[in-house]
Amino acid sequence: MDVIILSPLENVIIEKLAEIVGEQFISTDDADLVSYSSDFMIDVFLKPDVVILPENTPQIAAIVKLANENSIAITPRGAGTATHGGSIAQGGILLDLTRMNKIKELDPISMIATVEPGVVYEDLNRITGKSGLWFPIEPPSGAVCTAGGMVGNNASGLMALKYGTTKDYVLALEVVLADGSIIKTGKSVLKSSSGYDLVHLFVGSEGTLGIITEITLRLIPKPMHLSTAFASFPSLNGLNDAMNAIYEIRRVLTPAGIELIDLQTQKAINEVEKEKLVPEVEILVIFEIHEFSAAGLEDQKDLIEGVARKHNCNEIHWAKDDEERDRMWKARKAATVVSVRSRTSTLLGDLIVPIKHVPAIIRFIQEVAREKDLLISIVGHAADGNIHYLIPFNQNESKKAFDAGDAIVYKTIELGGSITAEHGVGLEKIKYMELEHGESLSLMRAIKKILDPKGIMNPGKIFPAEKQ
Amino acid sequence: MNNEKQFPNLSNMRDRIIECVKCAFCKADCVISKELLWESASPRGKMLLLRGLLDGFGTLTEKTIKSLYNCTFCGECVKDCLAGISLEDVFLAIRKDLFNLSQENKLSESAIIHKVDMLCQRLQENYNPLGNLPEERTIWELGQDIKLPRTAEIVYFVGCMPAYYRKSARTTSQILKALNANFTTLGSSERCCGSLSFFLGDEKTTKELAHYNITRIKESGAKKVVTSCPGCFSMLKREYPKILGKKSEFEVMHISELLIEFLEKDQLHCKSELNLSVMYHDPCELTHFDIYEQPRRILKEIPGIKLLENSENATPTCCGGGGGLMSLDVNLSTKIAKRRLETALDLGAEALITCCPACIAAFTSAAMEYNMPIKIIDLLDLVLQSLENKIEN
Ligand SMILES: Cc1cc2nc3c(=O)[nH]c(=O)nc-3n(C[C@H](O)[C@H](O)[C@H](O)COP(=O)(O)OP(=O)(O)OC[C@H]3O[C@@H](n4cnc5c(N)ncnc54)[C@H](O)[C@@H]3O)c2cc1C
Ligand code: SF4
Ligand code: SF4
Repeated sequence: MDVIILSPLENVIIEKLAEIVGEQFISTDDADLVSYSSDFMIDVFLKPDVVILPENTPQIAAIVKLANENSIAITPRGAGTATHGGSIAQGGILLDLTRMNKIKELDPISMIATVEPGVVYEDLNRITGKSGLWFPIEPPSGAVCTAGGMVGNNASGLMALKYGTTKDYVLALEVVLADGSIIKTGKSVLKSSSGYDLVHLFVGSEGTLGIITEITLRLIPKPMHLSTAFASFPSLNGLNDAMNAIYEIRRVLTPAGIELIDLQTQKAINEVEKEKLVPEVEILVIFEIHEFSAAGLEDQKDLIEGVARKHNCNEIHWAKDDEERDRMWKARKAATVVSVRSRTSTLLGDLIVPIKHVPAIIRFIQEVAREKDLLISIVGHAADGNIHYLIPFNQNESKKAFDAGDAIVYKTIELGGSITAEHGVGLEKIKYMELEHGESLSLMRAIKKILDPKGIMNPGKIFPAEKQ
Repeated sequence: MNNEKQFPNLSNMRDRIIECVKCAFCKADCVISKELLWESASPRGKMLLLRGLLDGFGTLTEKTIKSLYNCTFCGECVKDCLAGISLEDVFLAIRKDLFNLSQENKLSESAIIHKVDMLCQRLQENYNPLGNLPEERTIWELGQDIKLPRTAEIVYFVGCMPAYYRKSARTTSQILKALNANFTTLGSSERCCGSLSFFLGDEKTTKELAHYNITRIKESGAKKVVTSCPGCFSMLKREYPKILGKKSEFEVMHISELLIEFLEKDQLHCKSELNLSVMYHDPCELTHFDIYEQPRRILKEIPGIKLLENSENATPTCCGGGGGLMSLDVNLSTKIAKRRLETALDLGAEALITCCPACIAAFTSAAMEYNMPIKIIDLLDLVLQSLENKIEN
């Protein structure tokens, strides 16, 4: 997408923006430009020209209208925990939406919540939890990430196996389009077959089609009985053992989550936490199960344990209490962070393959690591085929790290997979979009052109530059 | 451009800064971040500002400087950081560099640096950060029926706020007396523990105060030093040995730990019924030493006290007063204290109890400023009130 970015922004525009939101909520100070210059993991630092914290939809509509009239780039941002530079801006306006953090309506009868985009995931669940309800995505970043960012990325998380991803819960949206007009799409109902599904066009659009200003979410009852287990697969063939166990379990029941952590990552977790949070074995699998009755929970435990042991699991440890469960999940949440500490840069992959190919893609990643003499850690939402690999590297290794990343992505596509399961395309994965989508990328471009003819919405993301 | 020479202390932290993966987990419980919302106010934002300063893509604007002083050193970000980074060490390093630059008149245009200088100067001149006269340090003893020996087993290190605001020093000494503890104080020869200069990056003043106080404590022959101020406690227990490069020759205790010793020896008997629903607020400096249970155990000993716990585990945990913030930006500090009081009110508490003079000051001014219907009570006052053998004064 060819983008026109007026940079630096003219003072007169900044004055008009300040009139819209108030002096207090707009900044061109370098402290703000620098502190918004990056997001999770990526080693790219780009400064916007101005940062704005709007309070409501009319303010956003006025800002976008002004930006469109003057062809100024505008990048929405929630908590900035996206991993591929999706929420950073090279020049133009960066809209920090965290000030819009109200829960506008909670309807416990219809089990629906309508929220502003800046509401933090765990804050929302704390409130809905009082009515026994739950928005069950559980991204590891849930203590900080926002509803808007989750919709922007179509985020998922640790319980996607049973509960699905953000898109499965979004019923309706209010969106400010690139010309500053405000649309509402979808209804607070559980299903509809009325016309094109525009709601899901915006879910996962990474801020490139409009600014989402209100989200209506379906909620589900929060299960009362939960348990978490660490299952150790110690043999050198641990990967096949673990995956065979997972395949067999999945054919009879759907646990809330099944996570896989490789040995390298287990060691890194224990090192950082300075206590043995996880056992150190060839492959560690985390099982999370949810039930509405204690008896049901016990049945699930028995089944999982029986199958795991049949496939050479030598130890399965169920958490004794909530405190231990929290510690187990803390270890998993730390997994993406700890293995890259002593590097200067990191390549973080978010591939997904059909689940029958999980062993093949993991073996391939391990082979690439050996061949290129790189340390590649692997953690994943194993049971849905979504594997994260982390390639930490220093400056002099960047070529081989990126070559390794390319090789893994090509293999993913060859196996019928997708380049990103939940983190989005952002800046980093643009180069693979053509490969994955082929002709349908043109249709995506056409949609983008209709909704954002001047290309002001989060420019430079998702789409590769068009060939002249 | 690389600015390592300008920021030598920060440069020593380069590896920590690079280790930051910008996950923002540290933002989740940061009271400053919740209050101000801007990313530059969050711990992750500060880490990025520091990376910018070191690598030359960021400049030292007044807002950058202010952001670096907008921190209470509550340590919540350290607890939340998945990469195990000690952010407080990083934030202290830049404050040392900024202070040193200010001594070379290099930041003379910065209003915030001017304030920092003024506070440190006041401390150097009066040996307390409040600007009171050094000779008035023992004013709290007036009218007290307390004759202290020259040497004793325990030194009660009074601290500046308890000494000059009097009440807390009086309460503590009355409790110690009621419990027949063999204690004394350093009297007028005590000086500030150096907590403020430490957090404001003035290493020289902090070192001088540490040397001075340690010498006086040694002269007293005490085996134990007890403080009622968690700030003094943290300086004496953790920072002094680091500053002086050797292990302490005496044990340092917070008064809540000492009271537990008396409780376990069956010598602390709380009798009077008080009938109060309370929320206990953990002072940051005590949580850094895992002192959570001791004050709660004491509270549970007092008949009629109903302790309400904040099970949601999501609300701000800081009073907003630490790290020099109350002196540098009282408005921000008071807003943070207000949020904490709102938590107590939501829980249905009639009173917020704590055992830190700085927390008490922050909460008292917030309750007054925002007219909040809640009492702020020092745990030690409750203990004294309910002691069966207290001395009436
Ligand atoms: C340790 C860690 C682990 C993670 N694990 C997972 C995981 O398991 N699964 C997963 O899905 N993600 C994961 N993430 C990535 C990320 O946290 C999530 O995708 C999250 O939903 C992003 O939310 P945010 O508020 O930070 O959004 P941002 O990062 O601020 O934004 C994300 C995208 O949405 C756009 N956007 C933001 N707000 C709006 C809006 N109001 N309107 C339109 N567009 C908008 C942005 O422009 C950007 O493109 C992880 C992150 C971390 C730090
Ligand atoms: S120490 Fe406390 S106030 Fe300072 S950045 Fe960390 S969490 Fe925020
Ligand atoms: S939690 Fe740690 S690694 Fe994550 S942003 Fe904060 S300082 Fe950086």
